Amino acid sequence: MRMLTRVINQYFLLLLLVSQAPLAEPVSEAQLGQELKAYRDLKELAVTFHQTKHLAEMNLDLRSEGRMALKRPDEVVWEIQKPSRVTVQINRKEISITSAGERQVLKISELSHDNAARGFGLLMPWLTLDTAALVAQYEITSGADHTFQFVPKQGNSTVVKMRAHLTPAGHLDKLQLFEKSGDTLEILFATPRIKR
Amino acid sequence: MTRFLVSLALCCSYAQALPNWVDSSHTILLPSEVSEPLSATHEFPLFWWNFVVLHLEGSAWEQVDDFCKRFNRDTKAWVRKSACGQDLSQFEELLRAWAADQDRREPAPTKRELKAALTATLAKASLPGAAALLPVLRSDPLGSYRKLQDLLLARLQLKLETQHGYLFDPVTQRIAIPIQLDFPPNETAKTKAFQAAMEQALAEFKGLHLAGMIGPQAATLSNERQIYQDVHMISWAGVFLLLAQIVVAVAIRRWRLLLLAPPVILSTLLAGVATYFIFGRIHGLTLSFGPGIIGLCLDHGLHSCLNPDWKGAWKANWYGLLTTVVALVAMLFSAIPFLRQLMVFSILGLFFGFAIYWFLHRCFKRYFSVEPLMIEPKPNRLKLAFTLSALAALVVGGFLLRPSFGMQQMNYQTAADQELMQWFFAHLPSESPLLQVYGGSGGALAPSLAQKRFAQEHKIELDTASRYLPSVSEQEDHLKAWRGLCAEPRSAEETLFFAPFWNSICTPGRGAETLDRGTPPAYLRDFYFHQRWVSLWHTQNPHQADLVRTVYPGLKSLVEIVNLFQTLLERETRWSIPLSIFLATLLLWHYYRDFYLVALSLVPFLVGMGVFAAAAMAFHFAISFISLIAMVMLFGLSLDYGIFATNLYTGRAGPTGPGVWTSVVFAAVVTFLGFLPLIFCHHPVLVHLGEALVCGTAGTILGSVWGIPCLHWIIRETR
Repeated sequence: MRMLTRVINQYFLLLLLVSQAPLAEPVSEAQLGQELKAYRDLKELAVTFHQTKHLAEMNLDLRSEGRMALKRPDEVVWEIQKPSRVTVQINRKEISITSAGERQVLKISELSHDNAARGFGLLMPWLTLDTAALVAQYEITSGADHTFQFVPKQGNSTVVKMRAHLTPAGHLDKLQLFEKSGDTLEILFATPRIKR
Repeated sequence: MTRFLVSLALCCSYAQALPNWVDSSHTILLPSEVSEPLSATHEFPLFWWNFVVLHLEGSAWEQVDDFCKRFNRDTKAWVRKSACGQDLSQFEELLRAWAADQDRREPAPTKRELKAALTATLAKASLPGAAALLPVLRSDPLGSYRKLQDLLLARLQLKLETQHGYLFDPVTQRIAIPIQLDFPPNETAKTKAFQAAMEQALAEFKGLHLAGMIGPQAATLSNERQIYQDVHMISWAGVFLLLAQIVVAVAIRRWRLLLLAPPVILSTLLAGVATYFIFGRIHGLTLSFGPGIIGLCLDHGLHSCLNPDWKGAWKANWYGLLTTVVALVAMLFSAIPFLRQLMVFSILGLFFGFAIYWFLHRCFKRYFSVEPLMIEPKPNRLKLAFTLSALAALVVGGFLLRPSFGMQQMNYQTAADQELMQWFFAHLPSESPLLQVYGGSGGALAPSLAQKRFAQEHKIELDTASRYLPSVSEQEDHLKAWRGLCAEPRSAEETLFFAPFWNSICTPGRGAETLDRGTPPAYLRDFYFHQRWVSLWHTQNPHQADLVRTVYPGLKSLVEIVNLFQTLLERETRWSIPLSIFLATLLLWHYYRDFYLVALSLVPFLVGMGVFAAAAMAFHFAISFISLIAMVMLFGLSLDYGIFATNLYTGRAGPTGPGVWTSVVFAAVVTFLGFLPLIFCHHPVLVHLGEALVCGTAGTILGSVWGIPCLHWIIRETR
């Protein structure tokens, strides 16, 4: 029954993974640290997005838009605003999901390691911009035109790979997630507002 | 609840290996008014939940998740629902049925509420990794599955904290994983296959160890396994002892004694057939214990065989038979159907055996005449001291020993199992729910609604079918309102994505669910079995339980049903044992017309009981329902020996000493050896039987060959 939480949580993990850091050349820690310098020392970050989910089974595209906010050290808000408002808030202790006037709060410690703890572990390097942990958890390779590919080192993730594109200024503007089920998600980010 | 489920499996487990025509149900163990709720505990899937308990080394939680994935995949064939990990596919059918009946169960939303729910659900579906959740989102956009989740969580009453998605005890580092198996407890071959698959899956995870499995299926298999192991051992020991007896009979040139065995087998078969015709079927327990009682007719065969020329031998045999039968007749009026059947089987077998031996003795006397051994016990002070000590032990035991006739006494548990059960029960609520079985051809919804109304009025928690489905009129109102939503305009996305939802609510001719048309919806199947339904009243205190019983008299909690077995037996033994002894004494008086001789003939029984009491106090034997059956057997055989031996001291012409003593010693040794292997068993049913019969028979033989001569000697000296 907590599948929804799992889904949302993983979504954040993956999203924050790339949204908080423009990725550098593969794959040394020093290079990654250099690429993340635009986000170094930030206290707060806010960014809007448009996303398209392609459901392979139904050949159906679901389009939505919203905003994401990060407040260090560990508060994250992910909000889909259109077509309907779904807000997910995460901190170290709990995840809350608010949708259609209902709020569901789940404690991190009660959630499956597979669904939350491991995901939270993945999230933490991005919250702290821990480049060493990022390199440890992902195979990162770079392509042409500021494109980077992230493949989770643990094979049981629902996302098999991610592709991110950075602007010349080092901000993430496009992220694609490729899921095990065949579904894909493409997210287009606006320029983030950063407070240091 | 689980306490009961575990103990429930016990009573019948040893009958599971019997052929299909043999009754192996536990209903025969209790009066009909309580056997029905007892049946519920293995018939209704509601009670097919088991708990797999794992010990977690360190904090290898990721291993638990990986194990669950493997476990769910490998044990799929035997599992109905698994709460191992968060695998939604385990509950797919349940969720689908729940979502499909939303329009019967719930009031329809407003158009605005529906629109908001549809768009919010589409937003959720746009999140990554939602593939596994899509079937639920598509068929249940209003999220009614959360209510089902609450209902299911309320049903699980285990007081353990949740960590990482699992029920966990941080003190013992144990994880309890609820698993509902897809078959009743008596299908042990399936349980065995399930456990093998589980253990194989677990072997790959070094940080996880199987602490055990708790539940009806696990307990039944555990008992059956032990019974098989014990029976295997007994079979080999039995063959060895039988061969030894044959060798001894041939070696002492008394091979004709071997001819006494076939009549016992024949009388057992005849008794079995007759019992089958009387009762319509015969229970496995009757077949297990009955032949032991029928075997007592061997005493009469031996007695006549070794005293062929004494005309009083058959009169002595007749009284030996009658004194045995009165004990059985007293139990013939038991409220427990099994005891009644066992007694009928045994009485018939004893009479058949007696008749066959009598016929053989009359017609083939020369084949049934054996020269006795020169056994002539001499009384002395040491033997007398032993006899008096045994009688004293009986008196002391009468004050100190307390029998426990509970069904739990018949459950096999290793020390590790016992520890695990104690840990588990410490996390269960103290009040056991009251069990109500109802229904029939009239449908279940109306009676269930009446129960629900009563429960709501008195603020009693009730788990029943109507908790999941409203009345027919409410359902019809709901269906009508939901159908009104079908005409609302919707986007192409909403039409395609929510196709299962629209198909469900917009199907023409969809009517109310009345629960009287065969298989109920998946979310209610746990409460249903062959036109019958079950409800659980979760009363919080005795006052609430009494309140429920005022409207539904006779309802019992699961623990009460188990305890009732003990209560009934205790109540019955209070009158049946004194009555048996009284009737046997009357018969003996009729035979001897002398109270001294009557008392003398009771000595083997009293000494046998005394030896058993002494052993029970010294070695802390449990005295159970099985011990009681052993006592009945002991009573029968000891009175035979008592009559045969006392006939030597009547002062009239009677049997020869060697003839009597040889028959008593042979009969007792055969009985003793027959039951000796039982004390090396591990299953309590066999152990209790073995302890009582081996100690009792040893005491009986000593009471006969030492007790009677010594007491006669000392009383004669005193006079």
